[in-house]
Amino acid sequence: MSHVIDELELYAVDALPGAERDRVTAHLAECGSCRDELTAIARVVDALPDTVPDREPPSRLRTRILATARSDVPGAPPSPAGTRLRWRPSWIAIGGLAAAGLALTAVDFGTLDRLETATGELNVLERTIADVSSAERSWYMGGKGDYAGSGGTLFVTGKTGRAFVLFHDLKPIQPTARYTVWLVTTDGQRWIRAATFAPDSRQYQRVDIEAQVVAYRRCAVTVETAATERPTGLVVMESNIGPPPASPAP
Amino acid sequence: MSEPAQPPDEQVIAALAARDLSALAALYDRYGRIGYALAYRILGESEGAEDVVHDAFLSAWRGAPGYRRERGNVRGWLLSIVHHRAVDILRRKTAFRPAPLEAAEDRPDDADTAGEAVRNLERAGVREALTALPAAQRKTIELAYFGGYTQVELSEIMGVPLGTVKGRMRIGLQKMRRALEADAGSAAGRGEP
Repeated sequence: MSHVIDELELYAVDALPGAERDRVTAHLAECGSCRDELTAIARVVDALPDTVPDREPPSRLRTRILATARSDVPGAPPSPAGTRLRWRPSWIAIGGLAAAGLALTAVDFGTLDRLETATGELNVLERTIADVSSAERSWYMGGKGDYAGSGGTLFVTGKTGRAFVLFHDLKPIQPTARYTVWLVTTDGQRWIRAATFAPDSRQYQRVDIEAQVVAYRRCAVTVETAATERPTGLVVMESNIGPPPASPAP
Repeated sequence: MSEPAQPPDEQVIAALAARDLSALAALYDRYGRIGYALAYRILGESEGAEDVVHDAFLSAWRGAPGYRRERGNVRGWLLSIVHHRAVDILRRKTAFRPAPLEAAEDRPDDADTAGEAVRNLERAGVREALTALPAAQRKTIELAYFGGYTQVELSEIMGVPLGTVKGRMRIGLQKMRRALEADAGSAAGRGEP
């Protein structure tokens, strides 16, 4: 039996093409030593998500998952089927309105879903207002050419250095295209893709930036039809973003 | 007032297999956030990430009776479903494959509870283990795991033979493994869980 040790790392990160993956899977079904080795590798691979910046899912997602699962349960009532597991206080806090609605069953699930969605949007709005209030620096980027009338303000909050752009009146773009936010180094040589997103047709749209903005000197927004290492699409808005203010002399 | 003790993951999975919806809610409350962060990192957009997490938890809901502890813990099992689905979608719309992690600079999260602070420390250890790798090894791991590139694509975009891709991946993950084991050993030495 020929072992597959050389393939196990790529297998664990899902980087083997289909046929080769199937071959390794078949071997693993019969080989305990390769399985043991894969288990050890998988422990490291399973830790890789811990390197990802934290991100809050929309509150409607929980409701959506539970609603779909509920439809899977034959004859399930519209309220949660059981309380065999203890509910954490924080769940109650998060559930809030939802828990009350489910207990009463007077509110149908669609209504509850809409209420949770609205609550989630309100939470985002409240968070954005709080972040804007605590922002130490901001730069406005006005839309250019066909994108005039749209714009976005890049905010950097003082406490955490967290950055985001609050766009307004974003123009619709082709379904296959995306707005891309770039940060540009002082020498203009490096363009770092900081965010890629589709407009959601609301008047205001918040886009979080996964980079330390203060390390860059310009922010630009392009419309791209493919993900590239450098911008290829039209620059539709941009602004210089200055260095942090100098500390006063002692 | 202290929080009541949480049921262990295996107990949650057993309840899930018994079609207990509150178990699914419990599982989501534990791993929904990191699952969403992972899917978002891979896909680069929230709508797709939301769909991936939805499908992954439904897959866990339907597949819970088939879960086997000896094949890995619940967290790894669930996140591997998220990862597999996100990469699958990414490969089908290759035009928007995310860039390497250059833009996603790691940033410590706000620690507003003691539990969160401990988790952040653990996460910081993993981040340190990854960032301590030589750039070529780190990039190979990131492009494969977060970028969804296959071994042949990695060989092409990095301009190195396939054997080098395999070697960088193997050595990089081995170094991370040793670093994480050392971290776990020193934590145990300090009497931490």
